[in-house]
Amino acid sequence: MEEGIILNQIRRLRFDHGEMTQQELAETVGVTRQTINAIEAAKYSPSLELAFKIAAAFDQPIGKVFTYKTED
Amino acid sequence: MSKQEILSWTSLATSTSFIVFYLLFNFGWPDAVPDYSGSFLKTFFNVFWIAVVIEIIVEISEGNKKVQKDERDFIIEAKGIKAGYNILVFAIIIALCQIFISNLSSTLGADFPFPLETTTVFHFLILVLFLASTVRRSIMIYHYRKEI
Repeated sequence: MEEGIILNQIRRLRFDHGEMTQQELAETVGVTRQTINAIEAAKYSPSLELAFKIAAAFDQPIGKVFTYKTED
Repeated sequence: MSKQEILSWTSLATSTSFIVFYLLFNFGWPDAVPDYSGSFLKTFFNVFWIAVVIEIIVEISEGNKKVQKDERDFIIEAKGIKAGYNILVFAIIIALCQIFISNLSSTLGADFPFPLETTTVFHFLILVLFLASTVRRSIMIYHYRKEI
């Protein structure tokens, strides 16, 4: 099976939400700032629960925050 | 650098220092090498106490934060523990085989090049314990640096 990558719109959404900092988002969803940074840079794929929490923090459906992209 | 990453570094430093102390105090400095044991010991003693001080400072400064560890930290820790566990199991199997072969050879009256000595097995297991800890922390640091 072909490997894909989970892309996200967190940086843009943070900007749209009054330039929310990574630390503020991290505190809202209950993780460390480093984890938010890793997710934003697409270096770490969050658990489903964390993905839902992040989407809820921006009041968006999960599909608008995270997208799964394959090589083709 | 997150709290868990800093603690991984300090733990790596203390484990490595323990290995050096243990080797030097039990086996001494090798004869073939010029004797730098004094400066070597001093260096690792400094590494050890600096790591302990950093650990205390981090615990005090970061201890009041709401999130101390999250899912990413647990995943990285699991990767480190897996490697450390494999090393420990491998070492225990080697120790058990050594005991078995040694007993078998003494029963048969054969000449086994590595006869069983309880202290040797003890030293081996203690060193492997510290080595497993060192490998575990190294793998954790690698994944923190790589960011999974």
